[in-house]
Amino acid sequence: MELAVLLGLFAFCVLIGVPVAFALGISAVVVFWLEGLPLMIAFQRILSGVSVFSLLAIPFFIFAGELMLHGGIAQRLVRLAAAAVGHVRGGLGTVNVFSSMLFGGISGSAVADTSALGSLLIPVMKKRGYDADYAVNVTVTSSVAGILIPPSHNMILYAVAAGGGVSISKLFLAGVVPGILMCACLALAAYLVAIKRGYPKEAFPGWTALGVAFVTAVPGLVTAVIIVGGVLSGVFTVTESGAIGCIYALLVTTLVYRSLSWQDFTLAVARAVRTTALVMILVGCATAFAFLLALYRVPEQLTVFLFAISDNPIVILLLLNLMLLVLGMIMDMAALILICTPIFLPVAVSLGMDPIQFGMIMMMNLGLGLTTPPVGACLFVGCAIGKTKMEQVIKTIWPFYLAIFAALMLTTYVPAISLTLPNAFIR
Amino acid sequence: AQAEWRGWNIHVPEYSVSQGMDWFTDELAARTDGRLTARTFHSGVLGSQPDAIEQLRLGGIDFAVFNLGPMGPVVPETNVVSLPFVFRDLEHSHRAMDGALGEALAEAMAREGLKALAWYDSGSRSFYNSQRPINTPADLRGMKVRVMNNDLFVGMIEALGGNATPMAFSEVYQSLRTGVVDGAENNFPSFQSTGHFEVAGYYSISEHLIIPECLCMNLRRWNSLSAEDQALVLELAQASAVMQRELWAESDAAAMEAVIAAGVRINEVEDKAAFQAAMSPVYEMAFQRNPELEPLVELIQSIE
Amino acid sequence: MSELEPTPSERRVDAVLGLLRRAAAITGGVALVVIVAAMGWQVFGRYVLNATPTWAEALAILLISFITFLLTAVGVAERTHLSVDFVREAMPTPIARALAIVRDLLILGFGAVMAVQAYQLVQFNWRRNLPLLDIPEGVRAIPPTICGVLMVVFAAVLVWRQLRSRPVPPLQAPEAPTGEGD
Ligand code: NA
Ligand code: NA
Repeated sequence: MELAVLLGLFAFCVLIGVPVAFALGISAVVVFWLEGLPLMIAFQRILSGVSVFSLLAIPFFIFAGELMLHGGIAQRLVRLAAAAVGHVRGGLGTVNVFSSMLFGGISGSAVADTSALGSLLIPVMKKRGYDADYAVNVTVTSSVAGILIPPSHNMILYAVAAGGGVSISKLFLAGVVPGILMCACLALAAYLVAIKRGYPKEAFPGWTALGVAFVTAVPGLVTAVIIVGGVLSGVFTVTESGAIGCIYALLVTTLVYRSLSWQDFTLAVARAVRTTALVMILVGCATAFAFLLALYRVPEQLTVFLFAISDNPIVILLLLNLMLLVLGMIMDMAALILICTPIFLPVAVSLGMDPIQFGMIMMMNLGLGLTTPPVGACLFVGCAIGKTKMEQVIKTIWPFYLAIFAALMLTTYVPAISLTLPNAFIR
Repeated sequence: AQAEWRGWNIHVPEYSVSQGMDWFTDELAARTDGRLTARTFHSGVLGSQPDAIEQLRLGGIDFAVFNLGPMGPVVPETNVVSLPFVFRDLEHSHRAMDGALGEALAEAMAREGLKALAWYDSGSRSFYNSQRPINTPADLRGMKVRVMNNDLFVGMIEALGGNATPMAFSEVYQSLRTGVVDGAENNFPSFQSTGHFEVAGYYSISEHLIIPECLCMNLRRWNSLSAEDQALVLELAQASAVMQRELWAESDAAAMEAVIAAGVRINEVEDKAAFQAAMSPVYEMAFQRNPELEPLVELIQSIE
Repeated sequence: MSELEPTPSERRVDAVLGLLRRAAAITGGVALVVIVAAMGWQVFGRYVLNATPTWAEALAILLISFITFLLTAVGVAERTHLSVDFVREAMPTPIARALAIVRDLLILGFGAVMAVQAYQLVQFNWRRNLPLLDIPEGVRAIPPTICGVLMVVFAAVLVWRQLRSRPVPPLQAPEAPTGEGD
C-alpha cells in the first residue's frame, strides 16, 4: 500500500512538472510520514546521499569540462578532428563524431558535450551546406560518447548506486571499447547519410597542418591523460584525479593558451556549481527514495517477478533493456541510474552478468534516452543550438538511433567488449 | 507503530554477525509464537553506520549491530575500545565486555537512547603491508598506512612514525596495488575477502585494535516491553553473541589459512610492549578530549 | 500577461531575490574553488611533504553539501532543475496554469519541511564533533536548513505572481556564449 503511494505520488509529481529531484523527495517524505518514520531520517538520507567521498569527483569533472570549453581547449580538439578526418565524404559529420570522442575523454557528461561541440560545429556545418537536422542528429547522438569514454560522472553515480562494490577505475576502463564502438557505428551512419544527401568533403590540409593541429591540441589532450592515466597508475584516486584535472586545465588555459579571462573563469565556476547542484540534489533525494525501496524489498520482488515471466537470460536482458529504454525516453539519466541500479542490478547479477558490463549497458541505454523525445536533454540543447524544430530533427534521426542500438546489442550480448580491458589492467 | 521490528546490519547475509542476528530474530519469533517479529536489513541498504546509529536513536529502526569504533562520536565512553593495545588479546576483551566494562559502556549508551543487549566480536586488527614484516615500531617509519577516519588511529600511526592516510575503504585495494599507500590494518577475514592479501604480502599480528560490536535496541522500544519479554530478548541476544563469537573464530582461522596458502608471510609481533610504550601521546590526547576514558582504562587493566 | 510592467514594489522584491540568489551562488562558487585547492593540497602533501593532510577530505565532503543545497535553492528561482513539462503543457490552458501553481506549492511545501527537519538535525547533532574536523556534526545540516528557507521564499514569490497573473521574475542562469566556431 505504502509502496503504491510512493510510486503513484512520484509519478504524479513528475507529470505535473515538479523537478524530478523534488518529486523523489516529496513522495519519500510523505511515505516516511505514513510509515510513522521520523521525518528527520528522510533528510538524513538526503544529506548523507550527497556526502559521499566518490561523488566529489563529479563537480571536478564538470568544472574541468567548463574550463576546457571557456578556456579554448574544446576549440583546439575540434580543429584536430577536422584536420584528421575532415576529408572523407560528409567530412564534418565524421569530424563531429571524432570530436565527441576526444572531448568525451575530458568531459564527464553528454549534455556538456552537446552544448560545447554543438555550439562550435553546428553553425559551421550549416554554413558549409549541411542540413540543420543532420548537424543536430550527429551532434546529439555522438555526445553519448561522453558518458562512455572516461571520465564519466554518470559512471560514478552508477558505482555509488550499486552500493560501492563496483570499482570506478574498472568502470572507466570498461567504457573505452563500447565508447569507440559506438562512435564507429555513428561515424558509419553519418557517412552513409552524407553520401545519400551528397554532402561535400573538406580538402585534406596536409600532414604539416595535421601535425600543427595535433601539437596545439596536446596540452588539452593531456588533461585526459592525467585524469585517466592518474587513476590507472594509482598515482591519484579518482576524486583526486578530478581535482588535479581542474588545476591542470586552469594552468593550461591561463599560462599556455592564455585564453581564459577572469570572466571566463567565473562563468565556468558559476555554471559548474549549478550543474553540480542539479546532479547532487538528485542523488540526495534518490537516496531517501531508495531507503524506502529497500524497506519494501522492491529489488527482491522485481527479480522474482522477472524470473516468473521467463528464465531465459536473453529474454530477461532484452526486457531490462526495453524497460531502461522506455524509462530513458521519459526521464533524465542521472535520476534513472540512481533509481534503477539498486533494482535492476541484482537481476542482472543473478543472470551471471558482471556489474561492470551491466553498467555499460545502462550507460548506453540511458544515453540513448538523452537523445530521444519527449524528454532528452541532449536533443533539447542540440535543437536550441541548431535553431531547428524537434519534430524536424526526429524525422531523420533513425539511422543514428539504429547505430547506437546496434552498439547496445553488441555490448549486451558480448561481455568481452566491456570486460577485456578492465580485466587486463585491474585485478 | 509497525508490527515488525526493523534491524540494521552492514554485513552481507553470509557473515557471522548477520547469522547471529538472523538466529536472534528467528528464535524471537519462534519463542513468542510470532508475537514479536523482526527482520534484519543486511548489507547496509538502509545507510552507513553513523546514519544507522542516528536512525536507531530516533526510532526509525529498532535494533542493530554496531561496531563500537564509529560509536565514539555519539557515546564518548565507547572510545575506550578504540585505544590501541587497550586489550591484551581477544579473550581479555571478552572478559571485560561480559563484565564490568560492558556494564559501564551499556550505562553510557543508555543515556543516548541505546539499549546494549550483547557484545559481538569483530576480531583483532593487525598491520599488513607490501614492503616488509613489522616487528618493531621502527619498521613502520615513513610507511603510508591507510587508517579509518578517526583521530585516534591517525594518532596511533603518527606516534609510530608512519604516514597516516585516511581513505575510503573502497579505494584501498587499488591504492595498495599502485603504492598510493604501503599498508593498512584489519582482521584476517577482511584482509582475505577484500583481496588485499594479493597486493600486501606481509601480515604482522600486532592485534593493536580489538573493537567489539554491540547488538543494541532503541531504548524506548526496550522500555515498552514487558519484564518477561525483556528477559527473553536479553537471553536470546546473549545466546546469539555466543554463537557469533564461535562463527567468528572459525572464519578467522579459515581466512588465516587461506592467505597463508596464497603465499602471505605472517609474523607474530613479539614485543608488543614497545608499541604500547609509543602510545602514550595517543592516550593523552584521548584523555584530554574525554576525561571519562581514564578510569575505564584503569578498569580494563584491572581485569585479569 | 508578461507584457505587464512590474510595479515598483515587485521590482524591490526581485532585487532582494537577486541578491539572495547571488549570495548563495557566490558562496557555492568559492566552496568549489576551495575544494579543488584542498584536494590538490592533499596530493601535494602525500607526495611532496610525505604527510597527508587528514582534514582535506572531510572538509571537501562538508563543502560539497554547501554547494549542493545552496545552488539547489538557486535552481528553484532560476527554474533550472530537470523536470518533465510536456504533459502539463499539453493540457488546456486553465488546467495547465492550475497545475503549475500546484507544482510550485509542492516545491514550497517540500522546502518548508526541509527547513524544519534539517534544523532539527542541526540541533540533534550539535553536541558531537565531526571526525577529523573539530566542528560540531550539526554543521552538516546547516546547508539544507538554508536551502529549505530559500526554497520557501523563492517558490512563494513564484506562486504569488502566478496567482495574481503578474510577470514572474526572469532570473536566468548564466549562459555560455554560443559564438560561431572557428
Ligand atoms: Na567522458
Ligand atoms: Na529521452
